[in-house]
Amino acid sequence: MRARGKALLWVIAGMALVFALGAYNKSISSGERGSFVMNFPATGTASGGPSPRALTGQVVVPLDRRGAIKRAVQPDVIEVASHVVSNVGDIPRRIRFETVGFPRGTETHSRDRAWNPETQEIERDLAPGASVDFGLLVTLPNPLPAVSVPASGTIRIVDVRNGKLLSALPVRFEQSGFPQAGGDCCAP
Amino acid sequence: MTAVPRSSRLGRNRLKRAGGFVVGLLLFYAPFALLVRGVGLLFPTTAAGTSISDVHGACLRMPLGWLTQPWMWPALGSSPISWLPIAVLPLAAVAVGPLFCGWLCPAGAFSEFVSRAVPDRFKFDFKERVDIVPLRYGFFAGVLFVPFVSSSITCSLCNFNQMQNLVSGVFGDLSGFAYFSTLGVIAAALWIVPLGMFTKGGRGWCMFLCPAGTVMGLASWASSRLPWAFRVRSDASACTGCGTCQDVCPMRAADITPDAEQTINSHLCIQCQDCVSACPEGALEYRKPS
Repeated sequence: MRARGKALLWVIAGMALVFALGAYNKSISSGERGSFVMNFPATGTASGGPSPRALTGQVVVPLDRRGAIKRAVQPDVIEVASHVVSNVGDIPRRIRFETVGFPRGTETHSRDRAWNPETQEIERDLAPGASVDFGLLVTLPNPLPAVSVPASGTIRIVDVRNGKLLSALPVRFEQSGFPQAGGDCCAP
Repeated sequence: MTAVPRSSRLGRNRLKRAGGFVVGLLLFYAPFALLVRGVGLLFPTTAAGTSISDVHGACLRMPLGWLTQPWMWPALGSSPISWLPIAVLPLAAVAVGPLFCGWLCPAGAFSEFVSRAVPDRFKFDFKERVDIVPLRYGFFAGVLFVPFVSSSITCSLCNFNQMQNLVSGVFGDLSGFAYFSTLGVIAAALWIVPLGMFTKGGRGWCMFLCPAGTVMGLASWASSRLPWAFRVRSDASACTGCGTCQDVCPMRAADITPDAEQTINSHLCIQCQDCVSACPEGALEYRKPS
C-alpha cells in the first residue's frame, strides 16, 4: 500500500513537471513564434488570425514574452508560421506568397513538396478546402528601436494565374513601455 | 569449440544495433525518409504524399497527444501514418517488445552512444534515486492532458526534431539551425547533456520524455506473459547475481533482487539484448515464455 502511495506521488510529480513546462511554454511561446491561420480568398478579419477560433485579421507577436534563452541566444529572429493556409473559395487556385514591409527582410519556407523557394509559389492547384503550411523567419532590428511596434509587415497571397491579391495578413511585433513610433509618451 | 568472450559478444550486439539505427535513419530521417516516401506513394493526397519527407512526416508524438483532443481525431483519420505510434508500434511491442526503441530509433541511440564517451563515475543513475516507471507514466499523463490547462509541449520538447536538424546538418542543410526557441534549446541540451552524456545508460530522455516509448513500454508490460510474446527473459536457476546485466542495461531495466535473483522491468526494457550478450552465465534469452 505504501509502495503504491509512493508510486502515485511519482506520477503526480511527473505530471506536475509537465504542467509547469506547459505553463512556461504558454507564457513564452507567443513571443518567440507567431502562429497563425490564413484563408484565401478573403478580406478583413476573415483573412486570418492567431487561430481558427480567433480570426482577428492580424498576427501580433508580443516580444516582451520571449524566454530568457531566446533573448540571450537569438533575440532578433522570430518565426511566424502556419500549418493551415486554406483555400476557402470554390475554385482551385495556384498561389504565390509575398512578404512586404518587414524592415530587415524575411526567409520563407513551406514543407509542401510543390513549394518553389525561388518564386515562393506552391506549384500545384489547391482545391477548395485544401490547405498548405507556410512560415517565415523575420529578422528584427538589433537592438530594437525604442517604439511600441519596432517591426511590422504583411503576408500576402497572390493568384499566380492572374496576379490578383487573394488575401493579406498584417504581422505586428510589439513591445510594451514605449511610445508609438513618432508619438510622445507624455502627451495627454 | 572455444567460448566467445562476453565483452566480444556485447560488442558484436552493439555493432548490430548500430546497423539497426542506420536503418532507422534511412526509414525516418531526411534526406532519406524511405518510410514516409513509401506511404506517400501509396497515399499521394495525404500529408505524406504532399509534404517534404523527413522525420515530421512520421511524427511519433503528436498523434499520441491528439488522442485526448477529439477535435484532432479527423487528422488521425486522414493521415495513415498517424497510426504508427498509436497502433503499429504498440502492436509490434505486444508481439516482440519495443524493438523499435532498442534497434531502430536513431534519437535514442544517439544519446546512448554519446554517453559512452563519459566515464560512468560522472554519470547519474536514475534507478538509485528515482522510481523511474511511475515518473515516466506521470510525464506521459502530463503530455496527454497539459493542452487542457496550458500549452502542448509535444513539439517544443521534441528530440526527434533535434535529431533531424543534426542529420540534415551532416548532409549540408543547416536550415534547422536558423531559428532557436527557448524550449528547443532546453530540449536539445536536456536530451544530449544531463539525460544523455551524464545519465547512466545514456537514455534518460527515453526513460521519461518519449511518449512513443512510454506507450510501447506499457504495451510490452501488459502483454509480456502472452505465450507467443518474445521478450528478454531470465533463467533464475542459471543466474549467479553477478550484476553484469545491471551494468550494461541502457534503460536501467535489469535488476538483481536482494535474493540475488535477476529481473527485467518490462515497462522499461527496450529489448536491446545487451544484457543477453553480456551475461557470463547465459541466463538471459530473448524468447517466448517457457
